Amino acid sequence: MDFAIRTLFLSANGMNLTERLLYGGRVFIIGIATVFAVLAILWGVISIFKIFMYDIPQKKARKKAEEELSAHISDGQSKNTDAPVSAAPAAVQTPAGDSGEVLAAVIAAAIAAYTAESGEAVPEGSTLPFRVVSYRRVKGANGWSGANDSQSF
Amino acid sequence: MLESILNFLENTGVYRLFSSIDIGTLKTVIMFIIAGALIYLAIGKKFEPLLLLPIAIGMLLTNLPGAEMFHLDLFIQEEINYGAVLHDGGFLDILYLGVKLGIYPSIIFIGIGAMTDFTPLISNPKSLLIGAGAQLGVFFAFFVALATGVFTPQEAASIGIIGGADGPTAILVTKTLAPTLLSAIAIAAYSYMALIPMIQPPFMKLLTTKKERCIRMNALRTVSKTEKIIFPILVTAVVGLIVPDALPLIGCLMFGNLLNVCGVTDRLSKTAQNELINIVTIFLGLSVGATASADNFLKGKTILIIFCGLAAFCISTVGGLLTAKIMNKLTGGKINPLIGSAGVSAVPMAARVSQKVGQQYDPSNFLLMHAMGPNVAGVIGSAVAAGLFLSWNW
Repeated sequence: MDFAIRTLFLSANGMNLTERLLYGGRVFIIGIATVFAVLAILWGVISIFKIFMYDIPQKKARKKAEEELSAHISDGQSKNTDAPVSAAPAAVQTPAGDSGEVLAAVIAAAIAAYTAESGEAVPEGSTLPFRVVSYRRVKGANGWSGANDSQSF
Repeated sequence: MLESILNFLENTGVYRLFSSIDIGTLKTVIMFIIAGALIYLAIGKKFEPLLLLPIAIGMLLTNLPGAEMFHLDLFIQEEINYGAVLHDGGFLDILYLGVKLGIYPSIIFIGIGAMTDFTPLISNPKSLLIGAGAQLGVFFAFFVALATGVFTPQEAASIGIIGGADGPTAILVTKTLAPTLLSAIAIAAYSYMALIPMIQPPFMKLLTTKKERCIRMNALRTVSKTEKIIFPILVTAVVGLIVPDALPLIGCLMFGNLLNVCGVTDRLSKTAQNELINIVTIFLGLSVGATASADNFLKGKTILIIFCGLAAFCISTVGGLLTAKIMNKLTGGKINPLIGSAGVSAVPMAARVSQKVGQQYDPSNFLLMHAMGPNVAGVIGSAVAAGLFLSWNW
């Protein structure tokens, strides 16, 4: 009994209960705040470094791809003037967001390359012989299919 | 002739153990039972076998009467006499130097770094906050352990770090702040890590709604090789400048990762991932187990450590889940709160638990890679918490 009382009010370190609670509370608050602060700083640093390492190069790459695509289409137009086409792929989802735009550009490039080779012409008033309105992934092709079905591009 | 036989018999462990049956004999027998139980859990139940098995064997070796393989008293003095350790020490004393000098946990972190893919974290750095939230249990358990009055603040800090769910980190902190509690804390930490699939799901279900559990997260962006190379250097620099005491862990973790991602040190990376970490794991397990002598382990404190460690694990899980829930609200429902529980380190088991629980409610929802972000963030978070405890002016 005596031991229990001593333990409750006077610890191995000579602190009474109030002192222990105050000391423990101080370490608790400073500790969790420091961990959050350090990891939040890391988050900030990684986000800044993403701008330089991902966003800007991505933008440049996209611009370059668009330029190459336009050049490619121009070549195709100069070769073919007949048979206007309306090649709009099946539409379900609306393209939106960075990765969606990239994917749309890739799909557009693929279709443009195909149509240019097959001799399809550009409709009047358009820079491309078609417009990617939206696209849909075919379900069940592989494990990736379940990863993000609901994602909007 | 008879004298030689008697002399031999007197030197046997059986004679030493049963020559005078007292409380010491009983304690030794209990330690044999505990070692046997750990061997069963490691082999029979596959609970963290890579570490629990060496720990159990170390425990058995240190408690065999007359073996004199380990002497804890050589290491708990203010000034360690390394000459005496080398001269008088047994096999396990020599191995224990790697723990005492903080070498093994850091080397293990090199291996863990080489095995870890930080891509999900680089792709979604917000995960770092979940890793921070999941350190709540560390400081909660510290508070509780200190409040009991049984433990000194240093011992309470060593108990709290169990909540980081990171064995090497717990060992590094404990060998510095509370070496006599090393075996109890290491065993508690590794046991709870093995029990994560049982400990976490009830909290995950309790703290999330069915709708939240079914949230599908946006696909992670691709990460370039340059980003992967710069990331470990950046983290080392940032954490090192703010919490230098965390560097033995973070520096080694990031070095190991750099070996893996840079693409020009494949041999070193493979060595770190395989031979190096395996060899050191054997040394670490044996020497940690060796500290579990009957007198040192069978104390009331050990039971309290087991309870406080469990509380640390549970509160860390809750902290991660609540942080993920808050982030889900702030991002307009884009984060599945189930990935919050992965914020406790225990890579990759905690992330697998998030994936498994998520798929119970939507079998086509893949949360694993999303959960790996908080999971590896938890490793960094627990190392920062450890660095804080090590640098604290006790």
